[in-house]
Amino acid sequence: MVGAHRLDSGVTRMSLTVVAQEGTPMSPTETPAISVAGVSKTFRRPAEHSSRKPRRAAVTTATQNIPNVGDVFTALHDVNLTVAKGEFISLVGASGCGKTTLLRMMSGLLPYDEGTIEVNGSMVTGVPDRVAFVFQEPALLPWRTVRDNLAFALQHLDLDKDAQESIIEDKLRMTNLSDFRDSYPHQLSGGMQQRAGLARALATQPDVLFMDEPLSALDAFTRRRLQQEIATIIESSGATCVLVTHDVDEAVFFSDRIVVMATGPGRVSEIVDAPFPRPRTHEELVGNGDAAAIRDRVLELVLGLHH
Amino acid sequence: MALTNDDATVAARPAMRRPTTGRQGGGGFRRFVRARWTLPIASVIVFLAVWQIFGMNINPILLATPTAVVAAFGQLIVSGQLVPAFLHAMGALGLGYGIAAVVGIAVGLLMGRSQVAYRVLNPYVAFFQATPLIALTPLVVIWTGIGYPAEVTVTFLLAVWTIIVNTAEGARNTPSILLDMAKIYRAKESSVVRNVALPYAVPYIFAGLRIALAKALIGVLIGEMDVSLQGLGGLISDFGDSFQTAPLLAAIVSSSLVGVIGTVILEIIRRRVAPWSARTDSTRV
Repeated sequence: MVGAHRLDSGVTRMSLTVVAQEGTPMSPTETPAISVAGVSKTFRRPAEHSSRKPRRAAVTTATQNIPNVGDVFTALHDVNLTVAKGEFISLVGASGCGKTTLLRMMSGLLPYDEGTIEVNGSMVTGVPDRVAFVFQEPALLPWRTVRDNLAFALQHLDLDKDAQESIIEDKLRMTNLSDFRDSYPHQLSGGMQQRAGLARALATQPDVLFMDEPLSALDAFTRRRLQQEIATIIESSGATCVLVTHDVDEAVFFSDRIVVMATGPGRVSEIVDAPFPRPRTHEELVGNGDAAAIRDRVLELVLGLHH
Repeated sequence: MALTNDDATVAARPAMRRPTTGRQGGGGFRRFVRARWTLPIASVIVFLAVWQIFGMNINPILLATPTAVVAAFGQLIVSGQLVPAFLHAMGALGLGYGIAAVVGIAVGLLMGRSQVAYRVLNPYVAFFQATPLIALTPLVVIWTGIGYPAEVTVTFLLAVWTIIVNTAEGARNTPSILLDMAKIYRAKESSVVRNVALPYAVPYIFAGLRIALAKALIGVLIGEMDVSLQGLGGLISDFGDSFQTAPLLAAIVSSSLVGVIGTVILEIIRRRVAPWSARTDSTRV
């Protein structure tokens, strides 16, 4: 069944025993942070593609495991996923598997066609309360200083000036940006801009933090350093995290579970556990056989190399 | 100093490269010619000199000499004709263009943020932007009579469309990632407009305001020359009708001074309200 937790791989079985020792973050009675049930999404092709030669849109058959019929494109088909409170999951998969679409639907930025998505127990209809999003680009307002960019995220919440100010100072310190509070985004390096985006997300004290390839635009060294910093910061915030990434090592570094998605139509193909205590360091994962096995398993799945 | 082609030095200070090589072998004269203001000033001096010589040798009704224009300018100031005319034109410009700026930015933002408003209003905006609005002057006179309101209305009508179009274009181009960001942090529409779309559109708006200023000035002069016969346009009309070429040219130069002052004021405002808008990377998100 699509989206089921498969136990037939050696890696996942080994992982589960470790999880049992560590204690899973989810108990059966607790409301999950995110629950996705039977969710599908189709996109209509833009009108200009079909206007020349009008074709009848085959809406009814589009979701029947046929990804591309006429003017309709099935981005996601029957996705099921549950994320426990405090859990960190990664969505990985080849481009076109709908991982970003799924992330945008969970965060309320994009409506879904079928099924239900719940965040903190309530249906997602718009952007849910107490969520934050770190985008692929820093998405900072170029005409505002770093401090004022953080203030923008807080100004729509009910906070008094002093509380707002102390949160901003706290998050800037956490992300090592205190000295740059009055700098404009264009005066910062790419890594610092992305840290400012993270500081802004954390300033709203989210229960759920969505991240859409937040480090993909950075060079390898900056990325590794930032992964380390983010892991520590997120741990102290206690937020549930959903990360979209195309970097399997990054997924292994961060996640409790790695959700591997497949294309045609976009769906969850398998969920792989990565049961190491968090936060992790790159040093402890280097040369760790279990981590290597998990990474290889995920890579195999993503690349479609079934043995 | 060490060798200038030392790789490390050059790489570390790319800005040093050009002047170092550029000045090689330059004498005093060459440096003088290359100075920023030399050529523009020389160009103007030569132009005025040619004009002076040419003007002295033809019928003064066809073309007055620069010295005659300067004399006429002084005379107009002393006689008390020029300053009130100048202020009259500035007033009509300030009022008509000012209202056009406020209305244009407001309507532009509405069209930039609402697809419905865009679709409803765009046919009219496109139509009026393409129409030579000077043709509307007689209609404006029928509506408002001969006087100040007609001048202001013509000025407004010439200027407002460009401001609307540019503001709407800027607001519509707001990067979707910034709009998503605003949505995630629960910004209401009023906050999105004020904190995201409007600041993003500022460079577009000022580009529109600059073009609209030139159009507005045409509106002022059309209004004064054709309708009220007051202000600078009135003087231009009078002097032209009576073949007084020197004061005519003095009045024309004064009207371009109105445009220059307007442009300078606009630039001062831009620097105050949106210092970031001159940066080329200001649109990078």
